[in-house]
Amino acid sequence: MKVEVLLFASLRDLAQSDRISVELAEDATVADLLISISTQYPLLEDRVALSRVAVNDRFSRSEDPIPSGSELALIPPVSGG
Amino acid sequence: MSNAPAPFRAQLVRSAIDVSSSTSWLGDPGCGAVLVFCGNVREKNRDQVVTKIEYQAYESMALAQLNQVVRSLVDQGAQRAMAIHRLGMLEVGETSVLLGISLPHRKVGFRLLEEGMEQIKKMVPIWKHEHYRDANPVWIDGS
Repeated sequence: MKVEVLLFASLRDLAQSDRISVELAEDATVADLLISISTQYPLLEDRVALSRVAVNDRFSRSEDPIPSGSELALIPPVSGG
Repeated sequence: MSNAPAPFRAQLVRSAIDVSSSTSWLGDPGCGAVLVFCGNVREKNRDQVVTKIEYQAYESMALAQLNQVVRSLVDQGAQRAMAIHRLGMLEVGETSVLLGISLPHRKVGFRLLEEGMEQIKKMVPIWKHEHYRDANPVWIDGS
């Protein structure tokens, strides 16, 4: 399946886009998504290693599945406040 | 079911945070302590002179996470809790974040306020893009 992943901050600047499209297996987990992003977008690889994934506005764990149609976001280290 | 307004409130705003009205909202006859923390844009960071900071958010999630922080503060004993984070470009001295709580006594309040700010800094997807007088802007890595 093909999924869209929202990007923010440094990731958005690196990709020069607010989202990327990622090819994934149907039963992919969050860990698989991170590997696929690094493979398909090598420019982001260093930052991906520091980032968390949000699925439908919630932080996910690496073993969580990626439900079809969910909103995905790559969250680099946050710095609000 | 009670029709009372929720005892917590979270907002993302693009104009100046109104500290005075936030403090008023927190006021409660049963509370002897109203604690409000304001985070302001500081003019120095990483040995650089900061001229302004742009705040960017993953807005839907940031609002959900801010709500979770203030809800948790109420669950832990605050009578009321409010969090406001500003987005967009801010000048030095402007308030970027406000976290306030009210409760009967101050001691627990100071601890809760600190915990709440820690949660905001770790769990809310907001990023600062610092602009400097003598260098290119940098995205700041936090937690």
